[in-house]
Amino acid sequence: MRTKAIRRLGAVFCLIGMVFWMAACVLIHTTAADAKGSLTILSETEEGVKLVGMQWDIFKIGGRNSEGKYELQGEFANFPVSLEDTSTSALAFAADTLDTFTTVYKTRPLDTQRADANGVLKFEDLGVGLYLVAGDHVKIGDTYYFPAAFLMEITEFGGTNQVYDLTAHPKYIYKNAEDQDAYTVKKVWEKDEAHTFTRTPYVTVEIYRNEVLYETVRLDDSNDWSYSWFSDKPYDWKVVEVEIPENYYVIFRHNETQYVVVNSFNTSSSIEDTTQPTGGEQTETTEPTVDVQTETTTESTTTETTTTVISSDTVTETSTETSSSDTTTTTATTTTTTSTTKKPEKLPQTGQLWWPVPVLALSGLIMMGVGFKLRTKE
Amino acid sequence: MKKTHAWCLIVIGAMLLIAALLLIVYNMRQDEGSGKESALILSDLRQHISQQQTEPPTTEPDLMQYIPTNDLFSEYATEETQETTEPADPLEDPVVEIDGSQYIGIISIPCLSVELPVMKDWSYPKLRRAPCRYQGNAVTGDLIIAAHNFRSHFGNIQSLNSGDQIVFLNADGEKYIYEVIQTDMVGGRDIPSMLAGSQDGWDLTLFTCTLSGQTRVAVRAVLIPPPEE
Repeated sequence: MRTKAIRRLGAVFCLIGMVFWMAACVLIHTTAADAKGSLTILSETEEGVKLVGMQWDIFKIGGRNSEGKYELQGEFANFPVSLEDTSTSALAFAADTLDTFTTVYKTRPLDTQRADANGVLKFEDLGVGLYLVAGDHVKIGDTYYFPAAFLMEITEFGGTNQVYDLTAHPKYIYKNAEDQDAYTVKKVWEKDEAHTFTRTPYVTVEIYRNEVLYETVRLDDSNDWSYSWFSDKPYDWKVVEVEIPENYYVIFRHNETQYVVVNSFNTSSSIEDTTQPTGGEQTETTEPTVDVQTETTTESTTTETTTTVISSDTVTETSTETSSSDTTTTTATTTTTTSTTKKPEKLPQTGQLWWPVPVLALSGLIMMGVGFKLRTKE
Repeated sequence: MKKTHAWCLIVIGAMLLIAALLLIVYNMRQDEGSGKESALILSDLRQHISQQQTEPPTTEPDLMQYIPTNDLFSEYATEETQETTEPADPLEDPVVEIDGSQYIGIISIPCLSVELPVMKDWSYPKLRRAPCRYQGNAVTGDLIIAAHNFRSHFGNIQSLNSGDQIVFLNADGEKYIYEVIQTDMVGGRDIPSMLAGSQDGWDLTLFTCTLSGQTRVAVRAVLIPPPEE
């Protein structure tokens, strides 16, 4: 009887323990998922020009999958943009590409803000996820300023009192109001050398001027996969590829006057390589990578945040509520290729074979002479 | 017995004489063939250069001026496209392509009545067709041109004297007039002596093999500055 009572009591304690454990799990998960961050953008050039009124849009484009890799989610899930390469440059290209898509497809942003008189604006209440931040150009004085889009991520972090304020210093392309430029778009195929049959005979690209369709052009072998046009003044030009070829990802990159549409083969597609890599003959190039890691210690708990900011912009973090210690680790890898040239050992042999002529002739004459002499003696 | 020996010697001697004769014929035919091939190339090259000189400046806007310093396209250029899209190096002589071969201009030696196309770089098959640039550029004043010792090529350059003129017309039609200052004999393996000439104050070197093939005749010349207008 006594043993039975002890067993029942044990079972009740176990049940209570389990309930507490499950509640703790749910509570912790809720805290992480509800974590919020904010992004402050300093809309200001390196020369200190405050880009007052510059409009910035923020789009939540995805997050991390169960394997911890970036993936596009929601309405961005169908965009043929790869986030597999997480190097700084690759994700900056992805930002440029997604910015083009949002402009062309008029995607609705999560939030929109304008820079105030100090060139500052802030996006608040940003949940865990991957964000695209893209700005619109402004004209200040005689100069147009075109901002570069960038990606930022807010990852899960603990601590209910923790608020993360990321600060970004985006980069800009400047153009004088009087600038008349020639622009060129070039189409490039990448990573498909083993199955070039998957390439399409042509691609169609649309050129947008200040978000309005300006021209549709076809790129193929006949025009060397490129097209140029002139602009009598600075506009916000966007170039988008219509119908991305099957099994390819796309990247739209641009600088002041050049636009590149890169179709890189999706190596995870069902088409198999038909050739083997040529081993030692190939040169591998590694893009420099920059990872920013920040460890934060709060008064009550110890939490860890990993913020990977990938773009050409500078982003800094500041903890606003509690004292914290920040550690930043930057790693860069570069590959150097050396080539050896075999030095020639002698000057080119530029002579005809003349020296045997006198030797042969003289020998022949002597032998004939001797022969005739012997015959005469007989 | 002696009679047999005598006949053997006569026959072998005759064969050696025939071999010498055949070699002479072969060399002369090779010389003639190369001369004809050079003449054909020269005609095309001359036409190309004169066309370039007479062509009015293009009305198409030059896209090169709009390429920013961070040239995006260069990142994606293949070896083939790099060759055609790279801006011309101001320290390199311009190049003209004819039938898949590249030429830097025409070399003329008036006192030898020689006028020949000059290929951009050298290889033995190329040397059989025309003189080739061994090293350097006319624009940088260190051009070295190698050619076979065919009579139609550089076979007679050893007879050049100080003061003789040599003219080089580059692919853009710019004329460089040189004056011979000396003739050197350089060992076949003595590359430093051949190249070191650039520190000796010459602007152009022409070289070819001597008959022995062991040494090279190097004719050094200096640029005559064009008269000021």
